Amino acid sequence: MERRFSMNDFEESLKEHADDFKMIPSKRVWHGIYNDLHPGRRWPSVAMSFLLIFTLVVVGHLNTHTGSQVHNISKDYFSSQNKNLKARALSSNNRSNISNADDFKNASNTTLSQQIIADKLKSESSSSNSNTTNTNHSYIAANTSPKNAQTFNKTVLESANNVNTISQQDNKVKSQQINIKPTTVESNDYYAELNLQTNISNYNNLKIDYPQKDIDLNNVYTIKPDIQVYKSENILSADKSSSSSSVTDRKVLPNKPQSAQTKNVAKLHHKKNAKISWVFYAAPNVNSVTFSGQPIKPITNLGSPAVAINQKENRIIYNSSLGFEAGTQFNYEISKKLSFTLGLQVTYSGYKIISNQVHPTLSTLMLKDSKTGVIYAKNYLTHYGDGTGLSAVPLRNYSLQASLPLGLQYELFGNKKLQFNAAANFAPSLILKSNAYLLSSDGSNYINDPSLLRKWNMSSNFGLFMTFRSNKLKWQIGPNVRYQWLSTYKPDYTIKEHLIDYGLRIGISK
Amino acid sequence: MIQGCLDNVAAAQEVLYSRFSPRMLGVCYRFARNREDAEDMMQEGFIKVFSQIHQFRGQGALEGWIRRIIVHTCINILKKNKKFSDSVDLFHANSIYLNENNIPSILQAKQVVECIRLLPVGYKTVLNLYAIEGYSHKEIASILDIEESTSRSQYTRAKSMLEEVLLKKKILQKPREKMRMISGNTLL
Repeated sequence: MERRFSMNDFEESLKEHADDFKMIPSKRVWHGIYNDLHPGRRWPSVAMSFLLIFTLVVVGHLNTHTGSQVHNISKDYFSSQNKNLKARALSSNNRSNISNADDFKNASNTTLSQQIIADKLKSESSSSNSNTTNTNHSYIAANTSPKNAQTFNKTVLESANNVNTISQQDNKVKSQQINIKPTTVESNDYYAELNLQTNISNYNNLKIDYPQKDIDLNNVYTIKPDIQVYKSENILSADKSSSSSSVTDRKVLPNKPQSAQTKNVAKLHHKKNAKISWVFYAAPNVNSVTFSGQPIKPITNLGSPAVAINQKENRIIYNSSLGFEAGTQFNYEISKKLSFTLGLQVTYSGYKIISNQVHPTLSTLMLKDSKTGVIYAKNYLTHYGDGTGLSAVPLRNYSLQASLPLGLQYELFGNKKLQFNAAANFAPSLILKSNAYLLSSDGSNYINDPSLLRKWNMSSNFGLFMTFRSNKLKWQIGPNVRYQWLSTYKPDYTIKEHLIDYGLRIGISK
Repeated sequence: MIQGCLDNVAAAQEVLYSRFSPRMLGVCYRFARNREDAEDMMQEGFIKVFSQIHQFRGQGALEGWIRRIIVHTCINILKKNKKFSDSVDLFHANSIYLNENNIPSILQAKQVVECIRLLPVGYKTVLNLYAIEGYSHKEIASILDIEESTSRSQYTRAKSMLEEVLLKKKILQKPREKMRMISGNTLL
């Protein structure tokens, strides 16, 4: 570059004045530079984000598959109950039902899932036909028109009639033992939207068992589904008065032993679900901090009066600050009063240091290598004094953590409506974002060095809360204390800082 | 410190940044529209400094080397945003009314810088590069992709406009042949 040394007064003055001009950049600039130069430090937060997303997906998956669990339990139960079913021959009377069923099928406006069932049954039907057998299927539709529903009503009643026939014919084919795997189609309130003036509309639970293809059909002409309509006795009796159909046909419908078993299965499942619950909670906090450990004093000539003046008492002046924690928790009931808890929690906590603006000062931190024990010094340029000056500046030390609390919850006392609980957990946590000003070794200045902050920490929550039910929701409210076990700083910095949060936890669950 | 920066040690980088950033932000501020833009320019400039520090061979002052990178970064950002080329036109610049009443009357260095910042982008860029950064008109023409004569004429007009503002704010005193900055005890 070609430098000009022959400037006139104006240009020279301009240059000198412009060169004198300085501005203090905001912290954002250094953070931007730091993040750009050290991108590897972002990986823990990226990994934590993936973990969070994965957890949410798993939670969503578990919540949306509760219905299918009922189906599977019923299926397993019935397959164990029906391991050795007898083949049932179908009388010629049954063949007429095929047309009824097909008519019903064609007229039905089925939903997608029911269409799949229908297709499956259709394939079974064709398979059965290839073996010169006829299968009688009933097709169920939720959005059936009244006309079709009447047809279906007829079909069900006729099918029920066929059950009688089959049961009579069972004796005839008793010698031909075959295995049948029934497919259970469970439907709740199929007819709730139909507004039908039919007798079937009173039935809340309709269960139809379909035999599948792995039946040895050598000597069986026709296979028919075993239709069982479960209903209470009083409904049946009410139907008797209003029904124009044959009541005598229906007396075969209830299968009391199986109905009871189904209820037991549902109860078992309900009990299983009752052990698991999800709680979403949030807690505004007041953050505090404790310090321990001794700073390493710089090696100085003690005879020098200037040094003696600089050797201040290491005291951090700070104010408590507000923070928060929020998260979700999975509770598993181990016993009546004790539950295991596992969750995902985000915590923001910090405090304000009272500092004062000073001219840029070179300040020293004496550090101790945690592995070798060697003491070494780091120098920093800082603008912040120990808070004893006039131009006070608040410095915020904070951390944003994501943690996986693992703990126990115990019901102290209470009744069904109101309970008092105690809870404690232990949470490994990842520091997503943090900032801390460290007191220099001579106690005169605050220094900002993100490289001395831990990326992982351990903390615990201790809380007492009461649980009460309001409408469909369960509420939890009570005091909560969080203590950070490890120091905010790496072991190289000999002063230990432990954050303590005092909060009021508010939780909600179904 | 330089060795630490070469080893990509964060603490060493922060020391270097802390030492030079106040002055470099002042440089950026003269080129930028506002403080935020200046900080963005400086951030980009320091990232270049740390990524290219292995090219510094110790010949000359480190500050001069950093300053040159920062200035080039500022120019590149102005070019990229087309802020420079849009307002480098002399006719356009002449029509701009300078509201010198907006100049804050605080420290003189700050006053001078704020006066420079009042100039149109094209003017102040040439003025910054020629009068303060010490580039020649030939170099400025090369950096800004303009004619050397354009650089000269822009500088003359920028200087004239700045003098006018400084006189009105009584930062400069007449006669113009011996213009001097009034700066209290430190009269230049």
